[in-house]
Parts: sequence; C-alpha cells; structure tokens
Amino acid sequence: MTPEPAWRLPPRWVLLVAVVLIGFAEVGGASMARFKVELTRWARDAMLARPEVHGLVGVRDVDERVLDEALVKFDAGLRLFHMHAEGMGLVIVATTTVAATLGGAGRGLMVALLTAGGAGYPLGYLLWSGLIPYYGVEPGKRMAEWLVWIPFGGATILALWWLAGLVALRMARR
Amino acid sequence: MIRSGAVRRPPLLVVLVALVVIALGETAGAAMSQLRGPIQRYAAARVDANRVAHGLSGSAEYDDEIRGQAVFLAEAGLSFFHTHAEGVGLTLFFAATLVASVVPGRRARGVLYGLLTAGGLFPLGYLVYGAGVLEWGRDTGVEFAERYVLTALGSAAIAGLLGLAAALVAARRRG
Amino acid sequence: MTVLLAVVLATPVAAHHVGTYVPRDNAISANFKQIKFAVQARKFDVALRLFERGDLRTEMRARAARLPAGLEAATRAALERDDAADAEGHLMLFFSALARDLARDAERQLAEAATPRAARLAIGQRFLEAIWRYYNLIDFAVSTRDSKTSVAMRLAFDEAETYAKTPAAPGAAPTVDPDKLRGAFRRMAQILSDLIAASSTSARRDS
Repeated sequence: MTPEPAWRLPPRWVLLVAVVLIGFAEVGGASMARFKVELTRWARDAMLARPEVHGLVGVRDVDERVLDEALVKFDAGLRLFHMHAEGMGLVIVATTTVAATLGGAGRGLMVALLTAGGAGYPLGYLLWSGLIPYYGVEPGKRMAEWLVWIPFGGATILALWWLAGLVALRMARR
Repeated sequence: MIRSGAVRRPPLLVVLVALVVIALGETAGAAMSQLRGPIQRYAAARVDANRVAHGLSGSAEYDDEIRGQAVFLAEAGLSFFHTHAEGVGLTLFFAATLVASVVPGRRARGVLYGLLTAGGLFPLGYLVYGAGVLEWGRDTGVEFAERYVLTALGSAAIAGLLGLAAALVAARRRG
Repeated sequence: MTVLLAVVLATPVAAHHVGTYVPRDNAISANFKQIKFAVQARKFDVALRLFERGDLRTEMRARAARLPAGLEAATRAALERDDAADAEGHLMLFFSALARDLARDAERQLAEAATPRAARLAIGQRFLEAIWRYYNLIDFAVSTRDSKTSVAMRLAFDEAETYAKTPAAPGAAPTVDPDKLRGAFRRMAQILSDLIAASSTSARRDS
C-alpha cells in the first residue's frame, strides 16, 4: 500500500509571520482587558479634543451618545483585530502548507499573497480603531477599507481561489 | 507514544473541500461588506415575492417590521456562514492531517475522512438558513436548515472528531 | 500620500460589517426606569432609596434654577406618601424640562448662519434623537394627563424629522430645511414650557 504523501512545510519566515500574528492577537486580547480603562480614556480625550470631527455640540445629552457610539466602535475594532488575527494566523499556516505542497510553479507567489494578505488584513481593524478618535467612525472605516481590507483581503481571496483551482485541476488529471 | 515522522497529507478531495470552504468563507466576508446594499435589496425583494410565507398584511408599518426581521436573519445567516466556514475549514484541514498521519488502516481513515469532510460542509447550512428564511418564512426556513442540514452535517463533524480522538487513544496504547 | 488620503476620504465605500450600535440609557434615564419599576411594583421605600441615591436627583439639583420650584421636594414627598400618580407627574415635569432645554439649545445652535447647511442638519438630527430619548420616557404620562399636548408634541416632532432627514424613498422630493427645522424646535420648546407651566399651576392649586 502506498503511504500518503507528506505535507511540505512553507518557508520558515511564513511560519514566523503566522506565529507572530497569533502572538499579537493574544497580546491584543489581553491588552484590551488589562488597559480597557486607559484605552477608553485616551480615545475619549482625543475625541473631545476634536469636537468638529465628531460633530460634538457642547450639550451633554447630545454629545454623550455620539461619544458612546464612537467608543463602542473603537472597542469593536480592537475586538475584531483580536479575532481576525487569531484566525488568520491559522489560515496562513494551513493554506501556505497546501500551497507549498501542491502549488506547482506559482507556489512562491501564492505563498507570498497568502502570507501578506493574511497578516495584513487584521491590521485594518487596528488601524480603524486608531483612526476613529482623529477622523471619526466612517472616515476612519473608509481609510482602513481602501488602505488595508480591500488590498490585503483581496490578495488572500485571490490566492485561495487560485490554489483551490490548482488542486481541483490536479485531481481532475489523476 | 506516537512515532514521529513526516506529517502526511490527506487525499486531494479532502484538501480541496477544506480550501474551498475557507475560500467561500473569506469571499462571504468580503461580500457582506462590499455587497451589503444589493444583498439587503435582494433579501427584501424575496420577502415581497413570498408574501404568504412571511404573512405580509399590506400595512406598511407591520410589513416593514416583518421585512426588517427577515433581512436581518438573512444577513445573520451569511455572517454565521463566514465565521463557521473559516473555522470549520481549518478544523477539517488539521483534523484530516492528523488522520493521515496517525490513524492506521485504510478503511478507518476512509470513514474518518468521509465524516470529517461531510462535517466540513456544515457551514453551508447557514446559507440554507439564510435562503430558507427568505423563501419559506422565518420559522419554516430556520427549522428546515437546522433539521436537514446543520444537524446532519454537524453530527458528522462531531462523529469524525470523536472517531479521531478514539484512534489517537488507540494509537497511544499501541505505543 | 495626501492625495491618496483625499481620494480615500472622498470616495463613498460600502459599509464594512463591524457590528451594530444600540443606544444605551444614560445614568438619568436608567435611574428613572429603576424608580418607575419600583413604583409600579408598589415598593415605594425602594423607589425612595433609588431616588435619594440616584443620578436623577443629582441632575434635578443641578438644574434647579430651570425647573419648577420645589420639584425635588415634591417628588420625594410623593414617594414618601406612596402616591404613584403624583410621583409620576413630578418626574414627567422633570423630563419635560430636560427635553425643553434641549429644544432651546437646538434652536440656538441652528441659528448660527456661519455653520454649513449639512452640519446644521446633522446637529438637528442629533438633537432630535436626544429630545426623543427623554420625551419617550414620559410620552404616556403626558398623554394621560393632557392628550392635546401629547398630540401637539408628536406632530412637532414628526415635522422636525421631516425637515431633518433625507426621504427614504428614492426619487422623492428633498424636504431637509434647517430654518424650518429651527421653527419645529421652537414649537417643541413652547409646547413643553406650556405643559410645565400648566402642570405646576395645577399642582399648586391642588396642594
């Protein structure tokens, strides 16, 4: 009986990126809990220093809702970074292993796209949170969308379907 | 003790299913963002096309509420699909790799691959959930997805993982 | 880089799904609900304790100059003698005053001609939300005591919403108008002032 062929591991730098990303995710999750008050205070102070950006009118009952929503979104961005970084670290390991083993001639580019896309995408959430106090919720989201989510997310999706297509072709040729 | 050696890969079909499920999950995530407007409009149109199933009354306020709930559930189905596809795809990849590397016996591996791969399709149940809500109404759609898709495929995943755990224990005992 | 940022900020982008924000009670409305539920359960000692220790009373004291005289004492007295209707009436006056002050602030801010039109509309919408958050708490109490005022307030609010929000139906005529919105806020402030004056006079007459 022919034994199952083995997986070929991706390059070490890829595994390092994945592990570091998961590490950042875990540190990020811990920091959100440990420094919750400090982070909220910083974000709130930064927003209050830019009333025209957030549409603050100087009336407590109006401004507190605006600030509350922005702070909830600020927290959501950090949480989404934590979740996506954890997941994308594993996605990088799994998909680059498949690419290294079955990717054929284009495996180098495929591995690069999967690694860069997977590592970059979660940083978009971190960027969004950081931009909220300075630019507001929606402008910050637009920046994160065009600068990070679309390019890096697009790279990952493109590489995944390319890899899936290659594996399907290999199956069909057998 | 499990002998260390090369980490073997599962059959190409299993690898392909895992990859496609992860890719679909990522694509769904992108669609939820970039196509949110069109998806909401499509969902609202399907509710209107299935008035009887949703119990639309002709009263604007009441119907808007019903339509809103159905659209929300459809979006929730897509969101659940995105999160589960990412996770279950990875679970299939790693679990199937363990099967390939550790489980002796072709038949045993075949059964586990079958169960895990079927379980790998579990997230599709959430697409059925979302579509079912729009086509058949909230309660009927959710019940159909749960009874005929999510329960069946989820059970396969659980059975596959339990089988793998049993195989790992057996391998450990054999030494 | 500046050019890229300018393009990015100007370009409309589909909503990235990052969750939904559900507005929360502030300390005053949360305290009001606690007191109200305690009164409804006929636990007046609990309601009194919640009133004495709560943010609602703190706010009453801070705004004493703009409230009917003796409102805090009257509210306490009503809770002490287990008078649910009277307590509700006094709290109704308090939130009417909060909403009235917000309507006046809104009218004042919308009067600033130097502010761009879009910004004035955004300000108006935010004030409308803030006013409704308080008025919604007492709408039923107002309608049972003075149905005409309740209807007038709802009409003024609906009118203000018409002038503040872009119509949902595509192709419908735009109705946003900051100046008419100001007028609606002025009417709301007047309606609530009249309600407070009438209720205060009635309370003095009955005591």
